[in-house]
Amino acid sequence: MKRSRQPSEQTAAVLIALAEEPGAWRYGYDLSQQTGLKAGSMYPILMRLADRGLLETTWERDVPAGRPPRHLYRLTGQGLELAAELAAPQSRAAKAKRARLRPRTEGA
Amino acid sequence: MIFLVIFVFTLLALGIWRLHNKGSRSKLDGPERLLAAASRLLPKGRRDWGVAMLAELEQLQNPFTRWQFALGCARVALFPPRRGGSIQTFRSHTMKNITDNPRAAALIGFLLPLPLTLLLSILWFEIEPFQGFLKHWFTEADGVRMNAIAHIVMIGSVLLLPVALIVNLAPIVRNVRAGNSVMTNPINLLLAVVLFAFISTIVSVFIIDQYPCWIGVPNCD
Repeated sequence: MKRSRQPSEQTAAVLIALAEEPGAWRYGYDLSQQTGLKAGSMYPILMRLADRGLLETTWERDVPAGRPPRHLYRLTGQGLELAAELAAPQSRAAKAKRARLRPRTEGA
Repeated sequence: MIFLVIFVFTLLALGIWRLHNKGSRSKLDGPERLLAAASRLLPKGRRDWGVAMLAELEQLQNPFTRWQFALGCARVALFPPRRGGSIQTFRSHTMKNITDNPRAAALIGFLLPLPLTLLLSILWFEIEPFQGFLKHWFTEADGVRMNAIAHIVMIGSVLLLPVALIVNLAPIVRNVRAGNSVMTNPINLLLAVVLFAFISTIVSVFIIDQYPCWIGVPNCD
C-alpha cells in the first residue's frame, strides 16, 4: 500500500519559487539563493522533481567560449498544478498547523 | 588498528590519484577537483546532474561559496536520490519504512537484542540456576572469558539500544515542545524508561567491570 504524501517544506519552497515565473528557465544556484536551500538539499529535490515529471530540464544555449553550459529548470504543467495546490490557502493552513505542532521551526 | 589501516590506504590512494592527475591538476581548484571526483561516482543515469553541478560551480567566484557549494554537491553525488523516491545509498526501502515509523524502529531496536541481552545480564549478575548452559553459550572453553557471541551481543546492545531510545524519544519531545503532556504517548514513554534503564545498567556494568583497570590495578583484565 503506497501512501500519498505532501511534499516536504523544502520541496514546496522550490516548487513555489519555480512557479513565480512559470515560463522562465532558472539556474540551480539562483534557486538555491532564492529559497535559502543549500546545494546539498537543492539538487536532490530538483532530481526528484525531474524524475516525477514535475520539472523540465535543458542545457543553456549560446554559451560564451570557455564556459560550460549550465543546466536550466522550469516546471511542467503537472509541476505548476502541484505548485498552485501548495500555494492554496488550504495548504497554507495545513502548514501553519504543522508549524504549531513543531514550535522548534518557529523563528528559524 | 582498522582506522590506521583505512587512513594509510586513503593516503596511498590520494597519492596515487595526485600522481595520476599531475598534468591536469593546475587547471582545477580544490572545490572543482572534489566535485569532479564525486561526480564520477554518480550512477550512469545521473551523470548529467554532475555536469550540471560542475557548470554551476564554474559561475561562483567567492572561495568560501565555492567550497560550500562543492561540498553540498559532493554529498549529493555520493548519496544521490534514488529514482522513485528515497535516498539511494542508505535510505533503502527498509530503512525508509523504519525511519517513517519511529515506534517500529524503537520496537525493533529494543526487541532484537533483548533476549540475548537478558541472557548476558543474567550471566554478568551470576544468577545461579541459569549459569550452567549460559556459560557454555557465552564464554570460551575456560568458562571465564567472553566468546565472540557474547561480544556481538554486547556491541549490538550498546549500539542498538541508544538508537532505539533516541528514536523512541522523538515523538515525546515533539509533543512536549508543542505544549502537550508527557503522557500523550504512554507506550513510548514506558518504552523509553525501560530502554533508559537497560542502557544505564549496561553502562554501569561496563564501568564497574573496567574501573579497576582504569585506576591501574595490576594484572587487571
